[in-house]
Amino acid sequence: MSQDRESGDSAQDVTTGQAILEDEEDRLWAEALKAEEKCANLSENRAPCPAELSAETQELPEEADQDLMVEFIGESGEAIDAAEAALLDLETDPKDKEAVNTVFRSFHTIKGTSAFLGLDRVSHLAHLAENLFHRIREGKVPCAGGFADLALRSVDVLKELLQNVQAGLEVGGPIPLPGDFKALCTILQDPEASGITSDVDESSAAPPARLGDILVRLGAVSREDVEKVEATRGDEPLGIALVRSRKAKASDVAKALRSQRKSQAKDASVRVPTDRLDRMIDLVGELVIAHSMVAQDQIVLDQTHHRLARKVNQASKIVRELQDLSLSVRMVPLEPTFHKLARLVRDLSRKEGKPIEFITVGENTEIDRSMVDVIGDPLVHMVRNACDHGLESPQEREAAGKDPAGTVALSARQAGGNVIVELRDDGRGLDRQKIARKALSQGLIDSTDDLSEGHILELIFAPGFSTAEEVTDVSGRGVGMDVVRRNIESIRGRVQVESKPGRGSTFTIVLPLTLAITDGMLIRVGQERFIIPITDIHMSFRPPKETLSTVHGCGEMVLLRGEFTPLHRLDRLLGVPGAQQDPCDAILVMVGEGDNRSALMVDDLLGQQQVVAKPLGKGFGSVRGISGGAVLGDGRVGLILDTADLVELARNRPSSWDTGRADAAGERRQPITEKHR
Amino acid sequence: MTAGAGQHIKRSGLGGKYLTFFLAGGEYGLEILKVREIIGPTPITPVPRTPDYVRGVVNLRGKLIPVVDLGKKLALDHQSDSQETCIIVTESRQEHIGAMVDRVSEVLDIDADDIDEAPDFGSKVRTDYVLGIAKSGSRVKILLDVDRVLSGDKPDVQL
Amino acid sequence: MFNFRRRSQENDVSRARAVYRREVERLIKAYKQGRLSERGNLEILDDAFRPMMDGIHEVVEAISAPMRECIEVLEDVASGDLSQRVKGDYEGDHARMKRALNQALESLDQGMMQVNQASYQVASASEEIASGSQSLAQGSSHQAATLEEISASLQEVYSMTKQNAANAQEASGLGEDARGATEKGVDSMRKLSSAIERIKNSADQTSKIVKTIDEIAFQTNLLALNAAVEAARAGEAGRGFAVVAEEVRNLAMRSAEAAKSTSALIDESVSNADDGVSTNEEVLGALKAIEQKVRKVTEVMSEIAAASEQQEEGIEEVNGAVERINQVTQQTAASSQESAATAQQLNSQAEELLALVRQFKLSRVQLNGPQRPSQGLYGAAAASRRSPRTAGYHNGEDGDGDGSSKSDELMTYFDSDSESILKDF
Repeated sequence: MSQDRESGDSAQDVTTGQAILEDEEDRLWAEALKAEEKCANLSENRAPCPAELSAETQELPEEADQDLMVEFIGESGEAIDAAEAALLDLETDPKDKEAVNTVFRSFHTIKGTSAFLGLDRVSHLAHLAENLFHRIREGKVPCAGGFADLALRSVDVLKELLQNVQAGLEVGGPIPLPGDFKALCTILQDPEASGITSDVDESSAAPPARLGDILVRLGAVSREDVEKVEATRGDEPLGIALVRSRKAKASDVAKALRSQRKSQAKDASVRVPTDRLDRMIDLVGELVIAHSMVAQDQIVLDQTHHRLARKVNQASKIVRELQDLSLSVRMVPLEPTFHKLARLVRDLSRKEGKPIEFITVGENTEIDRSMVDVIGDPLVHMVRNACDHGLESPQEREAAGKDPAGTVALSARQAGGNVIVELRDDGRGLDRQKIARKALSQGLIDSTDDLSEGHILELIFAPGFSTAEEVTDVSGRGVGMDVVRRNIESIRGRVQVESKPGRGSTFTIVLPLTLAITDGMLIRVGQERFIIPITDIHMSFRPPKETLSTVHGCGEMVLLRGEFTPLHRLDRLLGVPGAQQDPCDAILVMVGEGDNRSALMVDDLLGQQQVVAKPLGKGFGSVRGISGGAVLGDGRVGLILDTADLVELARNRPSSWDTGRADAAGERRQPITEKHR
Repeated sequence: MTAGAGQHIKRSGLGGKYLTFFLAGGEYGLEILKVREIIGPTPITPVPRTPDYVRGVVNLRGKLIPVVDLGKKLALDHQSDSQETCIIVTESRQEHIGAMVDRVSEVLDIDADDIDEAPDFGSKVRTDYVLGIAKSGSRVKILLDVDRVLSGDKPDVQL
Repeated sequence: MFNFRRRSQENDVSRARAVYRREVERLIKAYKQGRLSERGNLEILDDAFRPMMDGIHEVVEAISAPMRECIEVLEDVASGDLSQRVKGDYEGDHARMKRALNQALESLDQGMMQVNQASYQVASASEEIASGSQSLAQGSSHQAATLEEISASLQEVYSMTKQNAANAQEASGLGEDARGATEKGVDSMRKLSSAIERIKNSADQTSKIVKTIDEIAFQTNLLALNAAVEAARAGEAGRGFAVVAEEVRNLAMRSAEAAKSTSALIDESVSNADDGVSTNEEVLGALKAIEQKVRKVTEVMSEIAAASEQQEEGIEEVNGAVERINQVTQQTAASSQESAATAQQLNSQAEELLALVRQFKLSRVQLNGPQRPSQGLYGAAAASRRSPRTAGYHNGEDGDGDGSSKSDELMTYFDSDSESILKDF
C-alpha cells in the first residue's frame, strides 16, 4: 500500500494553472525525461529534415534545445489542460471573461513558445486559435455553439500535435501532423466562411452560478425558500443562512459550494507539491482529532463555560469545513484520464484502420487523486485490449452484420461510497475456449472440466496469462490482466468481466471514492479496537443459537438465510486475548462476496467512523489481515482490517484451528504454519 | 548512513555524538544522526501477527510509526515498562522506526579512540548488531547499528 | 301385881293416876325443855298406865327419831360431811323434813362439788395463765430485744441506703460529667480527623503537583535530549545549542531528582496521615463506645439513686412500724408480767378455795383435775398463743407477698395477736 502511495505521490498534480510552482517530483521527472530526450536527439541529428508549412509533417528544428523542448511540452500540456477546463466552464457560462482569458493565454503561450522553438506548425495553429479567442475576447463572437466546438477542436489538435512532438523527441524522425490539422487551419482562418455560427441551444445555457441556483437545481431547496432566506439573511452567507433556517442540509450546501467553488477556482489554481498537500491533509486530520479532544474536554463540556463552549463550537464548524475541504482537495475528476484514453483510441483506430467510436460518460466523476495513476495504466491496458483484440476488423464486423465502426464506451459514475468505471466494447467478446486452452497450456489449470463460464473468464486475471497471439506495439507489452487486477485491488477496488460471444465484453471496475477517507465501522475484540471498512460489511447481527453449528472439517458455520456461512473468530485470527467466546453474545459481521462470504465474530460494534487510512509504516512490511491504520478520535491508532485477506487466512488454516483455543501470546509470535507444525 | 565499506573505514568514522540509553541494566548508544526524536510514553496499538518484539504502532503527529521493543529484539532480560520508558524514533533507510528503551540517558560525544571493536564473545548482544564498544569513564556502552538492529531484517511475517 | 292394881285400883287407881300424872307431868316438862330422851318410869306406874306411858313413849319416840337422825346428819354436815343423808323412813312431816333436809344437802353437796370443780378449774387455768403470761412476758421481752436489734439494723441499713442514694447521685453526676467530656473528646477527634484529612488532601494535591513537576522534568529532559539530537544533527552550528540543551537537561534531571525526593517525603506524610486517620478513627470509635457506656452508667446510677431514695422511705416506714411493734411488745411484756402475777394470785386463791372445798366431804369428788395442773396451764397458753398466728398466716397470704405487705401483715399479726392476747386477758 505504501508503495502505491509513493508512486501516486510522484507524478500526479492536483490542479493546473498559470501560477506554476516548481514541484520537486516534476523536476525529477523532467530530469529523467531529459536523458531520454538526449537519445532522441541523437537520432534526430542523424536524420534532419527541413520544415515546411505545407508539409504533412512537422520537423523538429535542428537547433532545438532538448531541455527547453521538454519544458515546452510540459508547459503546453498544462496550458492545454487549462484551456480545456476553461472551455468546459465556458460551456456552462459563455460570458465567463476569465475563462476566455485563460484559453486565450493558453493559445498565446503555446504560440509564443513554439515559435521560439521553431515548431512552426504548432505556432501556426496556436496563432489561429489565439486569433479566434481574440475575437471572442473582444466580444465580436460569442464562445458558444460552433465557435466553442471549433475552440475545443483546436485544443484537441494542438494536444495531438504536441503529443506527436513528444513522441518525435523520443523516437526521432519527422513528426506526423494530425489528420485534422489542415482542415482546421482552414476553418480557423475564417470560421464564418466555413459556416460556423454561434447558434446556441438556449436551454442549456445560463448555468447557475449562484449558490441558491445550484441548490435549487440540485433539488435541495425550493426557490421560494432561497428567496425567503435571501431576504432576511443580512450579512450572513446564504449557505449558512439556509442551513441555520433548516431549509437545506449542510451536505447539500457543501456540495453546491464545492461545485460553485470549482467553477470559480478553476481559473485561479495553484500547483502544489503533492507531499505538501498530503502533509496538509494529514495535519488537518490531526487537527480534527486534536480539536475533538479539546471539544470533548470536561472543561468544555461543563455547562459553566458558555463562552468557551461557544468558541469551541465555532472552531468545530471551521474545523469540519476545513476537513471537508481538505478531503475534497484530494479529489480530481476523471476527465484528464478519459481524455488521454480518447486520444489513445483515436490513435489505435487510425493505426489499425478500425473505425472506432469512443463514447465517454461521466468524466466529471471525481476520485482520489492518488488513484488516478493507479487506474491509469490498467485502463490504458484495457482500452488497448478492447481496441486491439476486442473489436473485430471492419470486414469481420460487416460479415457479422454489425456496424463496421466499433464502439468502445467508457463510463464513470459514483455509486454510494464507490466509483464505478465501466469499459464496454461491442466486439467479438472473449473466446472462452481459447482462454481455457491457453490456461491449460500455461499450466494455470489442470483441466477445463467443472469450470463455469465465469471461472474461465476469471482466468484472464491469472498471473502470466496472455492470449494475444502476437505482441503488437499497442498491446501485449507484457502487462497482463493480472497486473490490472493487482493494481486495482491495491487501492481496494475490484474488477470484474462479463462477456457475450459476438456481442462484446464489459469490464467493471469498482473503486472506493477516496483512499484518504475510509468509512469504517469501529469494532471491539477483547480490549482492542479495529476498523472494518463499511463497504466490506454486508450486515451484522447477533446469531440465534440454533443457527450455529460446527461442520466437521469446515469449522464453525452459521446458518443465514438458508445458507451455511463459515464463521471466523477474529480474536483467534488476530490473536487478541479476552474476547467473547460465545457467538450468541458476540456480533457477527458478514463480509466477502460469493464463495468468500464469511461471518467474522467480533465483541461489539462501537460505531461508524470516518478515518484517514494510513500505511502502518515501512518497518512492518506487510501484515496479513491488516490493510493499514488510522488515528482514532482519542489519538490512538486503530488498525484497519483487510477482511478479504482475513477470510483467506482463516480458510487456509487447519480446520482444527477453529475448534482449538486461541493462544494469544503464542499466536502473535509464531507464524501459523509453525504454530500447527 | 555509513558507507557500506569495510569495518575498518567504519570504525575510524565511529567517533561522534551518540544518544545513550539504558536497557535491561546495560547502557547502549545510537548514532545521533540516526535519531529523529525521542518521545515519551504514548499509547501503542499492538499489531496482530507480528513478531513479539514488535510492540505495535504509534501515532506520531498523524504518522504511523512502528515501535520495536529493543530489549526483546536484542533478546535481553527485559523488565516491564516504567514511567521512564521512552521511544527513540530512529531514521534508517528513510524509514522511521520507534525503539522502545528503558530510559534515555544523554547525548554523548565519544572519541573514536574510545571505541573498541565488538568482541566476538562475552556480549549479550549479537555481534552483528554492534558497531563497537565505547568506554566512557568506568562505564561501557554498547553502540548499536541501527540499520541492522531495527531494519536489518524486516519484521515481515511470513505466513 | 294385878291385885295391887285392883285394891290400889281405886286407891291404887288414884295413886297410880297420881304417879302417872306426876310422871306425865315430869315428862311434859322435860319435853318442854327439849329432853326428849326422858322416859316415864314404867315400874312405878301401874300397868294400867303403862300402855299409856308406852304410848307416850311411842309418840315421843316417833317424834324424836327423825329428829335424832336429822341431828346426826346435820352434825355430819357440820363436820363437813356433805355426803350424809337422812335415810329413815318417815312419814308425814318427818318425810317432808327428811326430804327437805336431804334436798338441802343435795343442793349444798352439788354446789360444793361445783365450787370444787370450778375452783379446781380456776386453779389450773390460773396456773396456766400464769405460766402463759410468764412465757409471754418472756417472749415479749425477747421480742422486744430482737426488735431492738432489728431497729438498730434498720437504722444501719437506712443510713447505708442514704449513703447509697447519695453515692448514686454523685456517680450519676460524675457520669454526666464524663459524658460531656467524652462528647467533647469525640468532637475534638472529629476536628482532628478532618484536619488530618485536609492534611492528607493537601499532601495528595502536593503529590499531584510533584508528579506534574516530575512529568515536566521528564518532558524537559526529553525536550533537552531532542534539542541535543537536533544540535548534533546541526553539526558545528549546533554546538552552542548543545551546551544549552545539556544545561537544560541537567536542570531537568535535578528537578526530577528533587521531585522524586519530595515525592518520597510526601508519600511518607500521606501514609503517616493515613495512619493518623485510621488511628483517629479507632480513637473516635472507642470514644463513642465510652460515651455510650457512660451514658448507660449515668442512667443506671440515676435509677439506683431513685431506687435508694425509695428504699430509704421504705426503710423509714419499716422503722416506724418496728418502733410501734416495739412499743406494743413492751406493753405486752408488761401486761403479761402483770397478768402472770395476777394469775399467780388467782391461782393461790383458787388453791385456797380448793383447800376450803376439800374440807367438805362431798358425795362425788373431781379426781383427774389437780394431778397435772402446770402442764394443762402451759398447754392451754401455748395453744392460745399459737393458734392466731397460724390463723394469721393462713388468712393473710396465698404465697410470698412483697416485703412491705409482709411487714404490714406482720404488724397486723402483731397487733391482732397482742390484741387477742390482751382480749384473752
